[in-house]
Amino acid sequence: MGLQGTKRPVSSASIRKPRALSHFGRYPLKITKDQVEYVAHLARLEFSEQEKERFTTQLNDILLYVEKLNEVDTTGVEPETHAIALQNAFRDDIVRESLPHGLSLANAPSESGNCFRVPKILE
Amino acid sequence: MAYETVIGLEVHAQLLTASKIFCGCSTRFGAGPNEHTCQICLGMPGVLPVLNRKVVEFTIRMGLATHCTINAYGNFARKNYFYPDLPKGYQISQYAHPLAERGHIDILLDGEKKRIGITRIHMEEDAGKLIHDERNPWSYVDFNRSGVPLIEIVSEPDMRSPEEAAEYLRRLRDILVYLEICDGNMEEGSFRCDANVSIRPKGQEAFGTRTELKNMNSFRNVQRAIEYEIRRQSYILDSGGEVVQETRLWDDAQGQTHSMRSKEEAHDYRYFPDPDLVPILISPEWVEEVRRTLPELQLEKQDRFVGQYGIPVYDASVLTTTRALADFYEEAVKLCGQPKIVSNWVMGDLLRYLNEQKREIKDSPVSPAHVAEMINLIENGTISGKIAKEVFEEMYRSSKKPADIVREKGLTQITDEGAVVKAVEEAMAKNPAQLAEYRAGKEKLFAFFVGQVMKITRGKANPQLVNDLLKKMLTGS
Repeated sequence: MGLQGTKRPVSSASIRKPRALSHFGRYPLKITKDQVEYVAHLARLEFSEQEKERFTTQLNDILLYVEKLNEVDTTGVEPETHAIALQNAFRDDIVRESLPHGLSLANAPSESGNCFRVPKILE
Repeated sequence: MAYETVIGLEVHAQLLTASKIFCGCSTRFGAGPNEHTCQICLGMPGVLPVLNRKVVEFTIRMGLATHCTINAYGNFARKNYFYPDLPKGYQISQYAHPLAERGHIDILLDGEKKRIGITRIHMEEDAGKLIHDERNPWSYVDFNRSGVPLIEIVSEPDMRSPEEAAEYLRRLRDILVYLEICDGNMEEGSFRCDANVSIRPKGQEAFGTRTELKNMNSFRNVQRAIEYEIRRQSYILDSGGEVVQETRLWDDAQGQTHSMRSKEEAHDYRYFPDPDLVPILISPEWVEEVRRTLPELQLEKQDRFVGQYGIPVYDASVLTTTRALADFYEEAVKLCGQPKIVSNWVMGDLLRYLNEQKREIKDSPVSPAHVAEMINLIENGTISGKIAKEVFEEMYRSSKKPADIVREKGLTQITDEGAVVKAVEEAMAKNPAQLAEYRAGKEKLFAFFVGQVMKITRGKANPQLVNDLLKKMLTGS
């Protein structure tokens, strides 16, 4: 096909099937078990040793997959935080109705006096 | 050892918008728990926050008033942490790209001007409110405040004493109130302050280890907390110890700061750009548009009052405390043309009555026209300054026009010489002993006779006339 000898456009280069194992040689493992434990603590999650090992492997696989993006030539491209080129999406300062009475707490696991009830946190 | 104190302040100011920062829920205070909440400010999955344009405008206003650079590019970031008052598990704030940076304000202390740097001003959302159960292991969460717009104003570590910190805070609050973007109420939490405090040996360049003080809900408490902290840190260093970098809570009742030793001290907020909110691009035209609407700020107004009305700096500083008071004053001066006399009445009687009842100038029962009319009555001799006090009190009580009060109460000044002569004669006849003493040389009894004449005329006699006649008649000449 006509792709031979031509430069690939950036958009089609960005998503390709990972070339799997060949990358392990080029990129060292990035996530350690310590980091998994640290992030789990920040997220208030508790895991068994087995789970920690599994998540370490899985997170590394994900990172490897995302590493593919480094192959794209981004010379002259400004870093963006959004996929769409949109700025200044504003609303006017107008009050709209809030949720009807009672609906705000419809999903509350526990409530009291129209408040969400949570375990006390002491400082 | 002699230490120098280094203070930097972080101020959170609640913006006076009608709706929240990312949704249309009302920001009005005083609704029942969770009545001003929706999917967005409750942090439900799948919702899309949209920025309130007024929040950006208000922040630009504050940036300009504090001489900041308004950044052309801004965005929002997620600040991740867990706390029950934060429904999403993150607070939407600005991190790498705040709206305004590198400004300053000038403070006046003991007649000396000092410049305090502003590091940055950024927009963010407020969290909900926690009410702790006194007896049970529960807390109750009200999310009405969740999503209410705040700006955080971070200062440079430029303050060197608790007094400077308090003065900086007052100036900052005055500016916010003048700009009409925040009500500046510290007790109700719409103006909050955290203080970073450290000390270092005098002459040392490097900063000492700082502590962050929280939970101070008045200007006085900010000052007290910093004073306490300086003493505490000095004591530690003097006894060979080391200050620990930590957050400390001010305890008003005990007059102390306490370490907030929780496991969550080691914060890792993992900021990242919020994908739900698109970048903010601020054009020079927008900045100019906001600049054109900036009001005259307090110090500018104060200088103008001194120059234009020839009143003392002290008067001008009191009269420009709020825009409403300054407008009241100027209106009254316009109507009667007596700047210093208006200043005396407004600063004296009016502010005293208002303060006694904790009323704002906008709720004053006395209007600028009332004050001007009353001053005109004094100027044209209808009433004396002493009677005016009575008129003012009645005016404040009933909101009646001063001329009506004078007529109804028969307070018109007695300027008729014959009538005053009669009153003097009566005073002399009633007090023969005092008259004899006066004539024997006890001159301070003169004031006694002034009082007697005023009593007889129910305060209405023209004071100058009373003086002149008494001088003549008491000596019997």
